Amino acid sequence: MYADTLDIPLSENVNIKARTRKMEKSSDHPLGIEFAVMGFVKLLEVIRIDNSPHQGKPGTHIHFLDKDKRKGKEVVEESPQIKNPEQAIDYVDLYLRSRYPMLL
Amino acid sequence: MWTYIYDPATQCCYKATMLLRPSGHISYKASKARKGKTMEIEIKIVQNAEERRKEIKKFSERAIAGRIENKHTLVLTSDLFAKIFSPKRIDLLMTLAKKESHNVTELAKKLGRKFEVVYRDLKLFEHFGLVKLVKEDKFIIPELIGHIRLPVIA
Repeated sequence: MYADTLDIPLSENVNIKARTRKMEKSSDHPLGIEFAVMGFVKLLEVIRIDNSPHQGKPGTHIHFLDKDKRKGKEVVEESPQIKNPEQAIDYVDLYLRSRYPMLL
Repeated sequence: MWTYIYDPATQCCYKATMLLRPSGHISYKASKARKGKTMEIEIKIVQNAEERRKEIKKFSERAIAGRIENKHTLVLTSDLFAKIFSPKRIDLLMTLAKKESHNVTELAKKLGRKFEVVYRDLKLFEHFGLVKLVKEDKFIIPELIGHIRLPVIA
């Protein structure tokens, strides 16, 4: 199965990675694509937005993976306002810029 | 005994060693050598945030239209390109492309650099989707994932 990836480094230590894959159109994937946008700090994933179903719930989810933010538990938020990879990249970009300005 | 196995996910043929397990099952251990269609990697240098935004928009629109082509794009500004692709790192990629060294130790020796430094650079390239690091026994085998295109002025 084909997948496209896009890497957008913001600095040597901060990077945004987006991946898209074609899917059968369904209620889980109304656009017919599956996407995941990940934010990395020093090669560690700190945030991920994807439109794969999470715990049986379809739609876009934001997974916060920062150690200090998680405090030992998984933080996942539903995010119906993010509908495509472009909006997800914008969100991750803003998040990384506001949370890790010293690394940019 | 080796054979070629076809991976439909990457549309690549991998050279693999055929192993007969004591249980009677046959398993395959893929080696680093492969042939067939590989992923296209493009490094795009943009001048400013506006151009970067255009590339992101293009990527998103292409996905929504269902035009997914197994392509990997790295979008960088010129100053970031200079930081990530230092002369020594470019030298590393060029040496890797020649496929003369089999593992990181050999590669480091060939480049006259320390193992740790070469390994760190390879990890960075792996993160950017340019290089794949395969563990074979006690060795780490680096290989380029695909053909890298760098159209500076298109």
